[in-house]
Amino acid sequence: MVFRYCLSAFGLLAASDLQAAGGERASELYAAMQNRVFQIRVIDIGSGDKTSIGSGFSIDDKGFLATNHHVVARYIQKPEKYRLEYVDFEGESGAIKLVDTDVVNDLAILECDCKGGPFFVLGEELALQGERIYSMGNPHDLGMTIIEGNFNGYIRTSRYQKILFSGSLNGGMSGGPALDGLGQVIGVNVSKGGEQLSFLVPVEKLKALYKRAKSRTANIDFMEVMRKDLQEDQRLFYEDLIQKPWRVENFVKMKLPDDIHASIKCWGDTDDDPDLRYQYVYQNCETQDSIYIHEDHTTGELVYQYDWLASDELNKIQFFNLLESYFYHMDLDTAYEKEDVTNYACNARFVEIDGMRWRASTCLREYKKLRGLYDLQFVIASLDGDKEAFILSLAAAGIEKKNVEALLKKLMSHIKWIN
Amino acid sequence: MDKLVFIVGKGKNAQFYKLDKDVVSVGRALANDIVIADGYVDARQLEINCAENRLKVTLMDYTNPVLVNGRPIENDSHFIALGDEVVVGRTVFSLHRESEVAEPTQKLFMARHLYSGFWRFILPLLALLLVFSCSVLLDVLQTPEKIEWGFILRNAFVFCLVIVVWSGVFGFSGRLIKHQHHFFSQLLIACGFAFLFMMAEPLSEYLGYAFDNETLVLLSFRLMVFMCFTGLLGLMLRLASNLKRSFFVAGGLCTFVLGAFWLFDYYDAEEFTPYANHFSVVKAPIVVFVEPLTIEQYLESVDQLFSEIEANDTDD
Repeated sequence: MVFRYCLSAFGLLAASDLQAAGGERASELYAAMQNRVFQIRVIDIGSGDKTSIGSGFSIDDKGFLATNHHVVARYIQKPEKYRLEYVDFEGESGAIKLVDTDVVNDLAILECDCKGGPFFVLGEELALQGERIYSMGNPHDLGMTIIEGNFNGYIRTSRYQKILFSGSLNGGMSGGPALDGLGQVIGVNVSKGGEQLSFLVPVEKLKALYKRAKSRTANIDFMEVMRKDLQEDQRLFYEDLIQKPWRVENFVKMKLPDDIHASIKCWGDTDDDPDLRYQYVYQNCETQDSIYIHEDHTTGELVYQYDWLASDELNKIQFFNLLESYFYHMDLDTAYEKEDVTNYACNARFVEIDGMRWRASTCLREYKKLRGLYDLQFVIASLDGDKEAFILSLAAAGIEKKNVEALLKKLMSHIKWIN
Repeated sequence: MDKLVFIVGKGKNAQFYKLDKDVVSVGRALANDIVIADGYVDARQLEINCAENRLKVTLMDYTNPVLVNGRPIENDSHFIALGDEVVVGRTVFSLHRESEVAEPTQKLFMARHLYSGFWRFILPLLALLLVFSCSVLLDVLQTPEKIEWGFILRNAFVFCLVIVVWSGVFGFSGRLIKHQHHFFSQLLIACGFAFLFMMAEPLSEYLGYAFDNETLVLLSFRLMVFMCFTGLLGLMLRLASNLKRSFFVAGGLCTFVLGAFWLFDYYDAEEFTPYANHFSVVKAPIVVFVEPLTIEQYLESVDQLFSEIEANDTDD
């Protein structure tokens, strides 16, 4: 068996043999490891029934389990309404308590009364690109399963480091372990992006959280833990973004920042609808992932868009009405409940940039449970041309006050009109 | 000899009695010299003695007070002057000399055109056509999208239809209440105010934009809407009903209805919304009275938003 596994790793077996080898390895791993994987349940105290489920796994013999933050997020938000419970592979259940959470990397450490049981070894080395890896969990409450897939390295454009797992995770497997062929944990199941396109949190992040969890004392305010983690994360991100020089590229008749951060991807197009009485060119750039706080609240997104409008056909009134229709804030799809955020406070002013007159509007709202963090919306439109105009809109979720001001200042000072 | 004239009521519905006697009885009974059909007036309410160039009122009943220029008569008899306003029950009367000079004649608004002949019909129809044309023109001049004539013409037609139906309702009411429909006059008035109403939104937006003041947009728009509807309703009620204070009634109605809408808007704005509602008006800079800020000044205004959030949160 070991020989077959080594051969498969060097690509010396035929495809059918590989499949057979992988399948056998999966069944061996399942048989050996199933007693280390648990279903994690959030139980509504009122009804006594489970309200959400996920997976978790033991990481030491002291009863520590690892799972995703989003599996236990509901409990963190309302600990008076919910409690946590585990169910082992034999169907036995027991109480668990939350020890620590890492909202940024979507991880949590739990503690159960199952001390002394078998546990997973947290791996030291990453698998090779294309190597067979395995993921365990309890999809849709159907029972414990193991699936196969391929390790495809880190996602280079992710703001929050993730492993690309070419396998098919399903709801309920979140928080389960991703294993290499030796049964060592290389990551934690976290999300899926499409068919055979899933994501894992690297095991290094789990190790860091586990280390912090062991030093935790009782009576932790988890909202405060989240607030500090989020503040630190945005501080690192925006300081990096603001301090590094931005590459400037031409966008129609503008010189503008382009690809301002490695985690941001841009797309663009020109609207060539023959019925349009104007030309419209746009470029949309956004970070590729976000931080899950709870089911109605995400954060961490940064989105910006450039719009270019030009027309020889429209009169002045029509052209400015067109400009007005583009002078709006992007829909920052992050929070919709008044328990989570304040109302937006907005301004709109005339601003002079580079000798030209602009109309700028900023809207801000604060996170009610995570004080000091804000959602920012910004839009600015050129006013001096009656045949051509440029609009820049930007939205940033979960940003501190000083970074709001620094980001806007740098952004506005980078807007240049090419004559 | 210059006779005294006893006037019961006011305005077009007043009744006039020329007095031939020195002592005149006033009351609800038919035996009185001046008969007042008012349930709050006694059968024989009072007497007025006009002898010796003095007007002496003698009360015969005390069920309800008799007021002279708003003040109740305290004694059994009281001297009044020519032109004093006396209230008995719910009826007003006054005494005047027949030689008193009449007030100048009021001029009717466009009487030659509105009340006679060809223009009575043509002028309102021309006004309706003007409203239709303005509605189409405003849409065409303002829309940056492809001109969809069917949509624009249908909008203008529906707007004009609303004006005709509105005028028809008031015309019908006039027919029922005053036996005169005044439909074409109603139509002309409605067209005039519809035109003003069409201009209210762009005018208020340009005004607010010129001063960079969102409140000014809101206030000027609301003021224009209030004035439009009060004027429209006031004039139309004057033609369609016997109301003496039609503008007062119209103003009251508009205050109530528009006030209710605006109150609803106010409380709606206080509610939580996940959307960023900003002053989104951007107009052609025809006239702008506000100097642009520098980037640093603008960032100071952003800084104030943080204080605003904190203050609003404290209020909650």
